[in-house]
Amino acid sequence: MTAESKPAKGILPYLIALLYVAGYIASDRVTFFNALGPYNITPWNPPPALSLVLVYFYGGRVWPLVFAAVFLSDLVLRALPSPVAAVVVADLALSLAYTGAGMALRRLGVSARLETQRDVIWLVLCGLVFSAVATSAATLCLTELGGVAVENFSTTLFRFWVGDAVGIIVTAPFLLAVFGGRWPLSNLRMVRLNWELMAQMAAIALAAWTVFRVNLTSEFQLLYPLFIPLIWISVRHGLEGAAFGSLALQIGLGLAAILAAEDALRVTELQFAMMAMSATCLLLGASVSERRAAGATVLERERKIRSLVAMVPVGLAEIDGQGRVREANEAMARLARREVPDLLGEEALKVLPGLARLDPHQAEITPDDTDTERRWLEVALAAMEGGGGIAVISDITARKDLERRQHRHQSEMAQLERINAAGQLAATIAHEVNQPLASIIYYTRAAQRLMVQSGGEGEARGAMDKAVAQAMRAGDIIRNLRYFLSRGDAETQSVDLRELAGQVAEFLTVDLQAARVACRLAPGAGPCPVVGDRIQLEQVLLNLMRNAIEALATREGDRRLDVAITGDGESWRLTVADNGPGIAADLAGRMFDPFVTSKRGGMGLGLAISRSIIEAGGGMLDLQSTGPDGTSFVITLPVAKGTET
Amino acid sequence: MISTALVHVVDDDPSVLDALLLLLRSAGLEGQGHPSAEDFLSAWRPHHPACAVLDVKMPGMSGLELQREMKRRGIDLPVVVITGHGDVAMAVQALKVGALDFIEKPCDEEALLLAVRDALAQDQSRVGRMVELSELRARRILLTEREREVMDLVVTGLLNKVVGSRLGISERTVEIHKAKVMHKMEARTLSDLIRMSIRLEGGV
Repeated sequence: MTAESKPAKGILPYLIALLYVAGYIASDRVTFFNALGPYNITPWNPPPALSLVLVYFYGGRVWPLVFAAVFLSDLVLRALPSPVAAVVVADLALSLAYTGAGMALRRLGVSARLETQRDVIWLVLCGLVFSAVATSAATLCLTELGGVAVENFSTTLFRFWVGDAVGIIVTAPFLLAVFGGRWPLSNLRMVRLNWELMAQMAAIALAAWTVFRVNLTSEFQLLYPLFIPLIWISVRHGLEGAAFGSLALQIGLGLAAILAAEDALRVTELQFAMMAMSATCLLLGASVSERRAAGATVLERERKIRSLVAMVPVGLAEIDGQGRVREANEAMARLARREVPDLLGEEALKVLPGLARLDPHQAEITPDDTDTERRWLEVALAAMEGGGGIAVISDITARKDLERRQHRHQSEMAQLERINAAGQLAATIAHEVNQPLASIIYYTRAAQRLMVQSGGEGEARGAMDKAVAQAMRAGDIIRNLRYFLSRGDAETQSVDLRELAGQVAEFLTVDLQAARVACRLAPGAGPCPVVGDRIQLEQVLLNLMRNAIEALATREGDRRLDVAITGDGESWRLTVADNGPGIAADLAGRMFDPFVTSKRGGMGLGLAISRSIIEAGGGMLDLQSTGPDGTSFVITLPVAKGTET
Repeated sequence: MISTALVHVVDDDPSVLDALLLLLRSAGLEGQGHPSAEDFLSAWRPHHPACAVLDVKMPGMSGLELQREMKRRGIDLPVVVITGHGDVAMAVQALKVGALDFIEKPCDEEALLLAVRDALAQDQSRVGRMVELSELRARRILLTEREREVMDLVVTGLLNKVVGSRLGISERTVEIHKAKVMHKMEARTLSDLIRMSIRLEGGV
């Protein structure tokens, strides 16, 4: 959490201000020992930390409050040593500097939770630098405006600085931890008093005691033992440990100094060491915390991956460089029909179903007949860096079954359609052949009757001739049908409609001349490729043009037949138009139904078959218009793409 | 009267039509061919014993549609329908609409001729009844007004005496009128006269 100006509404800001000022004065009072000189400068001064944290959370606008607290504290605790002006100016400098420190932390984006080493480094640096500035300015004021003796300047300044700096470094992390959300006070309950914690406390006390006991009798500065418990705590508990440990040690040192009535100057030296220790351990703690957070993130991610791997319905197994199963999920165990532990350490090729080899591959396999139930498996093996791989196996039997059922259904449908078509064709043949057959029977029977009647022989002979003609007609029908049906297996190829129209027109030249029909071709420019069976397409066009010629036979005056091709890039439209008398309205709608014909003796099959041929090629054959001015049929066929014509 | 009966044949296939007509002629039946249902409808005349032989499948008006049209126009003519082989559904429909019989095509001529003769015989009686009715009407016109009054009352079963008192004439006069009515209407008995009266009223 980086600092943002906390919104303050209602009574809360006053409460916070009151708490701050009270806390400031109280902490100043508590640490008011070993005071030096007329201004009572102490070697441990936590109040600047309070100011810094307040500014950090609420921004520079709280500066007047900071000044008020500093001044009030001096007024209450130090009874305002004269001259007042010196104190006011010094307090002004102090409050400004610590407001600056808080704002600097905000500006630097230091997180209140002190999440990284960087945050800790900036906190320590700001503490050192701004306290140096603050104390220098304040000391200068006090010296210039009287009070502090000039010869005491450096001692006073050093003492002053160490007190403020150590106050900030020891207290600020604790305050931030408590108020910044890293270690809220409610967490206190979670601290269990275990042996280690007690040992650590004891170690601090022992270290403090040793320092004072030994140093009292020796000139040798034995401060180093203090490092040991603090580093221990920091390593074990991270930044929290460092912050609380520093505070505890500081309090311990303070108490020891008071108890031992220690010399103020020696305490200052001690505090200097305290500052170094505290800064060092804070950095150490931050580093430990950061590593732990990173470790926790990794653990969390690994936990997620594990639950994902366990959850997926696909069999997953990790195979090591020796081809043995290192890890496998439940789904894989189910596929292998074993328990997960039975798979681990086994040879992958033996225990993993469907896995045939160890190099990366993908396959769809159906295991051999030894499997009780036949199943389809999709197998994939991916290589991992440093040897081994991940095997992914899934049971796709259900999908395969569905595919097979769909395929079977499709072929059944196709079969059904063929049967339908065959049935329709049979009905067509039956009807068409029945007509002449009926005529033949009637003629023959009539002839038989007429032959026995007087003078009926001539008529009987005529009837027999007619019967023969009808038999011929039946033969024609069969031939015609065979002609249409002989090419049941269409050979699809690329056909140029333009060329085809020309050929059919040429083929019909004699018919056109006999019927006195003027045929005009407007095939457009360039080839018009479509995919289809050349002979079948030829039959369709021939059928349409013959129909037109026959329709024109009843027309008086000019007889025209126009064949035109247009295209839009997607499909070709071939139009066959005549200026004949048109198709009767009641027939026009049914022209494409089998048996429907407007021609005497027509089969009513041509258009039906033509349409099925065109539709088989993905096209359409429609009656475009019909009326007294003529009739036009239009064939639409998709443009053949990417083929030579 | 058989000789004057006419068989209307309706078939769109000219060769089938021609063959059928020749067959009918060879069997001593007079036929008239119609290439379409419409042609038949405009050519048909009542008061002439006839029947119709229809092909079910025809472009334009089909055999079934023609049957319905005939019913709508009140053409009460026996119909023989020729259906395609195995087209039972079509045959059933034709019978439902009122066809007398159906013949599957192709068929031998005997079945066809039998059906046609049956149909003609049926129509013969229809035409016979029609002729009889018009004769009765003609006879009734010959009756005087009083005779008609007497006939109307007598056929209701009233006694001569009652009829006389109703008309204000004597029982004897009623008997004379009644004898004249019987003579003019060519009725041998009273029950003959009653039957004639019913037919005249019902027009059957």
